[in-house]
Amino acid sequence: MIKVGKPYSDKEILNVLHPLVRKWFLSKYTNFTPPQKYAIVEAFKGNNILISSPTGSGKTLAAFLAAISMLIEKAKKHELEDRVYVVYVSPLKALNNDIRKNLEEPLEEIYRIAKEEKIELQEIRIAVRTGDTAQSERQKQLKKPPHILITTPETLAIVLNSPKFSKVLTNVKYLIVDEIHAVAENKRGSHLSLSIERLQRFQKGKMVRIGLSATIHPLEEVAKFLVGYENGKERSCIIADVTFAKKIDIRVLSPIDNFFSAMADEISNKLYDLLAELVKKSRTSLIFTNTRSATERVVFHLKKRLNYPIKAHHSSLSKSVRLEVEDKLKKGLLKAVVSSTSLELGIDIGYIDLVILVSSPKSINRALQRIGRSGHQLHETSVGRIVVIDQDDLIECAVLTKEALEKRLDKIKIPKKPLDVLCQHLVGMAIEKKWKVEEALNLIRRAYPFKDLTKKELIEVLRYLSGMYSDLERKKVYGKIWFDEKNEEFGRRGKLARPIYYLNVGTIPDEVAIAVITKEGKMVGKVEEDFAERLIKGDIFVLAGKTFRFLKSRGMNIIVEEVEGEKPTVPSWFSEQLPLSYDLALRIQNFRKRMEQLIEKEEDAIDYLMKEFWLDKRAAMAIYNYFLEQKLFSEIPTSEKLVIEKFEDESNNCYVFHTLVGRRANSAMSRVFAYRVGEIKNCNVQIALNDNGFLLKLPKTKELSDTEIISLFSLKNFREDLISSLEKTEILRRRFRHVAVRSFMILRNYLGREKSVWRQQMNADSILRLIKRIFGNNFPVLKETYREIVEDSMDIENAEDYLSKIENKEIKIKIVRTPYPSPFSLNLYILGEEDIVLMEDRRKILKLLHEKILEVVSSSLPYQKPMRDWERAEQTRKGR
Amino acid sequence: MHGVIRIGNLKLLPEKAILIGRTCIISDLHLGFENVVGSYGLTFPRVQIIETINSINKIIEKYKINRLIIAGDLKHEFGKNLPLEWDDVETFLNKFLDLKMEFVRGNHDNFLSIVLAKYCFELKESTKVDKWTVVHGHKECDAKRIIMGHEHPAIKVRINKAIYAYPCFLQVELAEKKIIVLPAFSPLMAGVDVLSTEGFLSPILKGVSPKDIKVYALSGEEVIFLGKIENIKNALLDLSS
Repeated sequence: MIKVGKPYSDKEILNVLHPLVRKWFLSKYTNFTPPQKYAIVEAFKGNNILISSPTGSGKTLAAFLAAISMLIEKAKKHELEDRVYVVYVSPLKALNNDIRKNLEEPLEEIYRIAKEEKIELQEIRIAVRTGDTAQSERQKQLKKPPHILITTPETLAIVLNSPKFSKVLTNVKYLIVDEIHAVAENKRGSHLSLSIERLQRFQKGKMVRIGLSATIHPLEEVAKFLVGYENGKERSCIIADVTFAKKIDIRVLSPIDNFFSAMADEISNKLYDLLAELVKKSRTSLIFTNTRSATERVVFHLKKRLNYPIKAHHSSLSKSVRLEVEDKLKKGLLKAVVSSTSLELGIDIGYIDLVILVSSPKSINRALQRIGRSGHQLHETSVGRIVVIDQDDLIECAVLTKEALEKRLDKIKIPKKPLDVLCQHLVGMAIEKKWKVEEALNLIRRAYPFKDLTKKELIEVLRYLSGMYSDLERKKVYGKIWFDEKNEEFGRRGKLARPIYYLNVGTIPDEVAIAVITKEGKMVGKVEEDFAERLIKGDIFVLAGKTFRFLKSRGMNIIVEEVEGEKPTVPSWFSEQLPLSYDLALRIQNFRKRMEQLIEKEEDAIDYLMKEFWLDKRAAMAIYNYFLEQKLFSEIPTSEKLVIEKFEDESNNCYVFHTLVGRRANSAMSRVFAYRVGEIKNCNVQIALNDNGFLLKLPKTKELSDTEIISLFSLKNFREDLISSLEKTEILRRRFRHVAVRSFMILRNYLGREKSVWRQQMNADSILRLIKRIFGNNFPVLKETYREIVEDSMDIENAEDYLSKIENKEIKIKIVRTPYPSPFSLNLYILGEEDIVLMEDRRKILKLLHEKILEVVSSSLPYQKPMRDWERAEQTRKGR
Repeated sequence: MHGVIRIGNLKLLPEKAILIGRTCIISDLHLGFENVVGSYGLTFPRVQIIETINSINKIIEKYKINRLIIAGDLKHEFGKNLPLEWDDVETFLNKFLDLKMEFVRGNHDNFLSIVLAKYCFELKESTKVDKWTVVHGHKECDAKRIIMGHEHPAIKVRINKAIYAYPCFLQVELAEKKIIVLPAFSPLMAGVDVLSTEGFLSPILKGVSPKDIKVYALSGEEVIFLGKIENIKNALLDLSS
């Protein structure tokens, strides 16, 4: 059962602590912080606990104090054995050394007190073990196991399979999982949840689980994720939410009062002026942008304006540069640091008195997480300022601020039974011992993400892993496990399974960056390998705001030339953008409705915006003007009215759907619509989408009637149509490759061999196509690819939710024709295509090409010989 | 016969094969490819042999062929013996024993003669069909009319912002020589884009100008004559502008 915990009094907590620990605590602190009040006594009692609290609230001690007290007691009695008592797992490798320091310090102090009191204590050992840990250090840990093991999810999965080291992990008293919010929503979390259940299986005694999280909602679900299930029922856990113990002060700032009346240059100048002003007024500020390129731009412009030490910190910078920046930040040597996401999580960054967010952080939780980085001490107020970059951003941030201040959080979404992650653990489990299918199924279902896994699904995965998926696999040369389907048993097979597991475990796809170089030899930037691979000679693409023509590839480089004024031929399907959460999107829909009601009364509207959203007059005016212009030009879409705008540009018929459900749900909806349009009209459909809606572009010759538009909204076969629409798209290709890597179908590391050898000569599309044709969509790697795309990368659930509201008339459709894109459509229109749903069949394209050739040939050549050739072939064809 | 293009007595089939009378010529099957990439860590189920057998069965049924010539590279690996590769080759042989089969040596066909001998087949350097000489194409050949493989010709084009790739036949007509190049029969081979390649592998095609090469693309259902390589390039420029 999941129960809400209660705070214990300082006295109650001090009573349970070992006298030495108690003395130490009182020598350092006067009272316990909120998370400590909830956690320590419960941990002593042996109860699982999940605490959600802001950074700087004494989380580490809250999690460790019970364990430290227990270890001191054993050390005093000389009962400490050579084994691991506490396992601490954090997704942040960078955090591990900090944690170790934060533990060593109190331990040293406790030992000093003990020495003064002439109490002899055994040594308590702490060790960090990650992928970077040297072989010699690992050997040392084996000989003298640490009592506290600090590790990452990936390394935990590896030590579970270490024949020797796993022996010292059989009596763990405490398992501490830090930064759960950073893994619960992704596959690293699914992976960790299975590792924990595998660790649980070894245990001789009770292993208490302690989870630490930043702002997250709902806590009950995260608790289930932490503690898992036993016989189909969740294990018990106590939850405590102290996230709002810290005061927050958030405001939205607009650099300008009417975004439409100003030129882009003017807006960005004013934006940087505003940032500079904020930085100048604070002692140390931390600025968050949403992309790495924006980080660099902000640093550049701030340095131009201010003569202070200002640095960038993002994941593309080298480790040493990042460490240097962190160090200077901690010492208070910097005026400002600009970061993308890298400083969002845990690392102790010292004194920050202001957090500035440039543009919407897209989720309420992320806003709180980022702003929580300021005022590190619990009693201080976190101060955050959100500076917006355009009118949509302004609205989004105004609503977001209100929601954050009123403590309405986004709901988390935990991926459901990712089969690729399961593959990895099944290989690991098979190496460990021989399993009965039923026994393995029981263990796997204990992990929350896999609680609904069926036996049939498990058997399919086992068949795939054992290389027995088709009847032809008599020799099973590349089976990674042994599986006896008749007796329902599986286990290890061959000597290769262990190195395959060790070298390939993990869930983060490794993206290789390819350098983009001009033919003069100038480096212009980097693109992902997948993107580079799909370029063909003559393609034109956009990088860092400039347009380039692809000439050729040379190893890890591609050679390009800059071209001005040419239209890109390649859709920019790589997007760094963070998606807007569905919950926040719904609240913005409501906001639009309220604004529509107030649109006739300017004063009331401005008043409402300033009072309810703490906006200044400038920002309030900007919002009001934006809505007014939309109203005059077209219609305001709201939570009860979906506006669809039709217009033409030079070459296309355009349809904008103002759905406002977040880009993940829009992505699902737009692809299904594009697919359905393609079915009706037999043409390719280009898609552009953002959080607020999507745009479908059809060729000039194809037009949709209003009835046809309305017919697109059918809920029937939505999932099937979405899957069909993915055929031959870049996203399918890319995700398939990622899932294939995670399922060990493609081994990143295998016998030290280069994978590029086969990448060059084989057609990855045809593997996908043949597997699909021969084994169907239930083939585990394919099934997971589709699941990941429609559920994790896109948001089919909420897309369907929206459509159901249309179907039961909660939302009405209003179709309008506009002469050109409306104010609300503008951002979408200038975005460019995201992807194309291909409905024209291959044959038709070939015919088109062939007609074109005919045209070019006949116009450029005066003599008739090539024509005769052509005609002869054509006549022969007709004649047969 | 829908979708077929006839050149003299020879027919280009949309099934990536050439038909002369009731003789069918295919090339570059690369059986056992999965086994080879498997040893580089790419391990997916065997699909190629299933697809290959299905495709040949369709050809047999549709065109009533009685003779099948493999113009080289029946299998993929040339360095060593791989277990699945042998299995694939034997599965293939057993499946079509009713046909009159002939095997021309490709550059990947080392050790193949041993398996073939078991079935009393000979591995030839070349064979004749009508006036045509069938070779693989990795060595010089003096014949006046040549059917070959080896190049895996294809075209890759971007039209309306999407990429399309099609396997192709190539036709070279010089005063002294006529050559037809077969596309790779293997469904797993990526194909070499003749529009961007900087030269051919085969010594037979050495010195042949793109101006003298005609391209016949396969849409899946039919063979479509596109014209010379140069014409295609020009048309593509026109389409993208």
